[in-house]
Amino acid sequence: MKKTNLKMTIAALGGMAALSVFVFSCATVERTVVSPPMIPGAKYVGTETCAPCHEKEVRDFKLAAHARVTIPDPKNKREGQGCESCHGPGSLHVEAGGERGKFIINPNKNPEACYQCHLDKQAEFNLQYHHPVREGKMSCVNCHNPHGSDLKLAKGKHIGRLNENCSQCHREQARPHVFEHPAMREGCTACHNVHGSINRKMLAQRDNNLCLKCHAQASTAPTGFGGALHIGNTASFAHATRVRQGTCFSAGCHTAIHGSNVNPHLRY
Amino acid sequence: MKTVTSVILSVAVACGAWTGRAMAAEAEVKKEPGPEVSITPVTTFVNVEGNTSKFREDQWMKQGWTGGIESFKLNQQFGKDGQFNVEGRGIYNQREYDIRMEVVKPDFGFVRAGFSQYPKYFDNIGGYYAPFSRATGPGGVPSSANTSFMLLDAPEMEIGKIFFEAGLTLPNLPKFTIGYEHQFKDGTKDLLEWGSVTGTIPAGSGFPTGDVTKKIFPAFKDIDEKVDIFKFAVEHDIGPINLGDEFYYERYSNRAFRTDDSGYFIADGTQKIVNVKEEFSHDLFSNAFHMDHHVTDKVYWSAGHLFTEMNGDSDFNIVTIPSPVGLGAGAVDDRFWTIPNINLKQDSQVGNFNVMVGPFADLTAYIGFQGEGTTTDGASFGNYRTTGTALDNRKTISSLTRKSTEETAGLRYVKIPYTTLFAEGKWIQQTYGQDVNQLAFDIPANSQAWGIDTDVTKHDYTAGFATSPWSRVNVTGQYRRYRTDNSFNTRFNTSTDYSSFIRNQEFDTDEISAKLTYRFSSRLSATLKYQLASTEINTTTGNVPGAPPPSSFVRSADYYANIYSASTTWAPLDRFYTTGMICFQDTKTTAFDNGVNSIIEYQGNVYSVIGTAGYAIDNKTDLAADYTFSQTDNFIDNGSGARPGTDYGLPLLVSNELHGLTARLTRRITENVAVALRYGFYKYNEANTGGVNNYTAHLASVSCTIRF
Repeated sequence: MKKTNLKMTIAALGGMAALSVFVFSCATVERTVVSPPMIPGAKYVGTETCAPCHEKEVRDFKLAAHARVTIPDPKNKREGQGCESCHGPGSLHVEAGGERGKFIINPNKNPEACYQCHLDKQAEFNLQYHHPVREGKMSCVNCHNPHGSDLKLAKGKHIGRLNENCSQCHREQARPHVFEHPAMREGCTACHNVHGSINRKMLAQRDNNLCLKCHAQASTAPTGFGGALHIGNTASFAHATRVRQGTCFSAGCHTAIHGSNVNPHLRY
Repeated sequence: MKTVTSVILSVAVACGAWTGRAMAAEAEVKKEPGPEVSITPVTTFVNVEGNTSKFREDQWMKQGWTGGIESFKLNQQFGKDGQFNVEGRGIYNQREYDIRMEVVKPDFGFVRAGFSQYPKYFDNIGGYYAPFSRATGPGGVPSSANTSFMLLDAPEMEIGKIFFEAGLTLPNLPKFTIGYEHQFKDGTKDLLEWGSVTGTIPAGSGFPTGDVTKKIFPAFKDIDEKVDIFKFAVEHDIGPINLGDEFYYERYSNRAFRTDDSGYFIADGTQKIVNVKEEFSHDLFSNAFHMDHHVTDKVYWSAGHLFTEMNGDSDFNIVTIPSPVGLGAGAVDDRFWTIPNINLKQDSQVGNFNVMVGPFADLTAYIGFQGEGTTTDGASFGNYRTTGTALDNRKTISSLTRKSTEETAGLRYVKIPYTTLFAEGKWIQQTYGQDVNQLAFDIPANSQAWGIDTDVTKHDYTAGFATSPWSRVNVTGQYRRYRTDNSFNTRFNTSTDYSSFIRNQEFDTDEISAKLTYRFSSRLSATLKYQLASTEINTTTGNVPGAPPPSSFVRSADYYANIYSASTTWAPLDRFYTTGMICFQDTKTTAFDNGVNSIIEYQGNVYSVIGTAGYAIDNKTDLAADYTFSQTDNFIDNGSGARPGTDYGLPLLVSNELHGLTARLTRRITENVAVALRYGFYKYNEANTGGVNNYTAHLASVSCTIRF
């Protein structure tokens, strides 16, 4: 009973203190704070204002995947369209002479602009296993080109080949092997949730479902095979006992899951 | 580290010298503003109760004291538009550094350089099986009952890079860029390759009795990976035509050593270890040429070509080390392989051509074509000895050719006021030809060869819209259908190996997404979003003499995901804002299991909440807070419980709850000095590892930002 009263007293005092601070600040503060990715005091000026300085970006944006969700607004009657949907309202940036990085949002440094639309990705970056975007060690732009083209602009190594983005950091996994795993032809995302996952190594599924969704075969074998899991075409390839011990790739068997130089079954 | 520091200092001196000369020249014309400099020293203390390695892995920070420079910025403008910038941070005993500097003068050139490094942490446990709980783990690590097996040291790895880039950007002349980059990964990481643990389970525990083996013993891998990259690029505009060429050379090397458990017996502590050493290096050259031309405002085309050549060498050794107590050598799964000569070569040519036209003011249409040819050749020679001293020398030759063509076509239509309609189709045709020939000289029965051709067709259609019927409302919607059809033709196969009887595999995916944003006022807006994804995978198998399976059609897997998310931003006062985001992901994968009871449907239901708030307490003091939460509750104890006494398998799926709360109070002491206090609270519970990964952590931090 005494403990309950103490807790209530502490809560009441805390609430009164918070209320006092609130009332005091309402009466005295003249500043404005805004939620990221807004820019305090800035107003929307429209994409046409950006064009004289950022001619190439505005011209090429017609080709970008993000152009699909840009509302055409030549008279600037809708706020936050075009460039300003990601870079924030540009009036102060314009007034500052367009100085590099001044009063403008750079999504390369802060993913908040991307999260405004990609809510699910923000949630995934919040899971235990994630690429360190939240920690500031990576940004969305490391993997995605927000001005990227529907057309392949045919530049550099990123000419539009599968897995090329991931292999920039994960060469050990993406390199060729004597025995390849055909799943690599489907892309890294066939097995990994690349933004974040509840599963180790950002796997889409942590258990045998990950493998069996492709490695499946019916077995209407003779008596004794009922309920058997065949990965192969003879009795020695029955895997029911093995999968009780663990998952295909984590049970110490098919460990070279990205490819092997020594074993066709991707062991070792 | 000394080398790194020397490089950074050299670059800094070079940048400074160039900037100095440039600034001196410009200063004759105009007096420059002084540099803007700010520095934020910080010290942080983190207290963790519970599994510290799991905390480090989740939160990317270590426990105990850390300190250093949270942020350093220097910005000096010179001339009309030149800039010298330095940005960095360095947390000393977290081994986290990031420094970047650049000198940019738009009509002359630029120099950029930097060094970054950060640690990646891993937890130290393997799998979990409740009956194998013990008082102590391997190496005498104390552990509570009901624990998992643990590594003595939690793995960690340093990831980083050093880069230098310089360019000449004189007007009306070709632009040149030259760059060097050194990337590295050095340390130890955990693996999902868990070794076997065998124990005897007494009657009455609710679990299967007798000797049971589960693959739950953790493993780790030492990595020493280095990449050196040299780049040279030139780009030039000839009238409306843009031309460019980029040469790229990469030297990659990786020395990896991993230790796997091959059998741990709880009763007597005997253990068999497998050591695997693998070295790999490659040289990769590539050259990419591109050109594009804005013929008019309504016509644009681009074309490009990429050539890549890679030559790699590898060395592989695997040795099984029996326990001195028992087990002995010569067990069927022992390996003593030495394969010193592994060669890989890959050549690739890619070309593409694309056209965009805008025949009408409100309609944009584009088409693209890409062709690719890649050949990969592998060869190895080595001894695959398993038991005793008998040699088993084998020579392996493999080749894989890939030919791919891809066509793209799309439309964007913006005639309807405040509305964009779009549609796109992609069609991909691929052929793969794979040949493998392994010749066993000492034990001919181990020889094998196979050849498989694969035809792949992919169709990818997307259509959608974005509209703003009222100034306060934005609506977007999109539908995507994606289909892949793989047809396999096994030309020959001397063994009974997987997967010669698979004839066909189809992937059918449908995706829908819709988003509504409503701005109630300038102070309140809300977004609702819904996504649906559904995939069916179907497999057709053929007859293979001698054994099952028969020719049949199998629904290999069904996958679906519903993702509901909503966010709101509310700023009721000038000095107060709050944002909130809630997301629920409901995913399920049902793979073919043929009635095997250790395989159950995968469920990945996840709830996420993220909230932030900012409040100006007075004209000099700000309070900011954020809260993150995620929860998943899908754990099934597949080894007991609902089905006691049956050895169905390991516990499956995940149940956990993660809370993170941080509050930051910032007080501006003077015009140029601000002090910030930060408090963080983190709490994590995980049911699927019996609580061994649980932790509670408190963080306290003080920082001071000084502007000069």
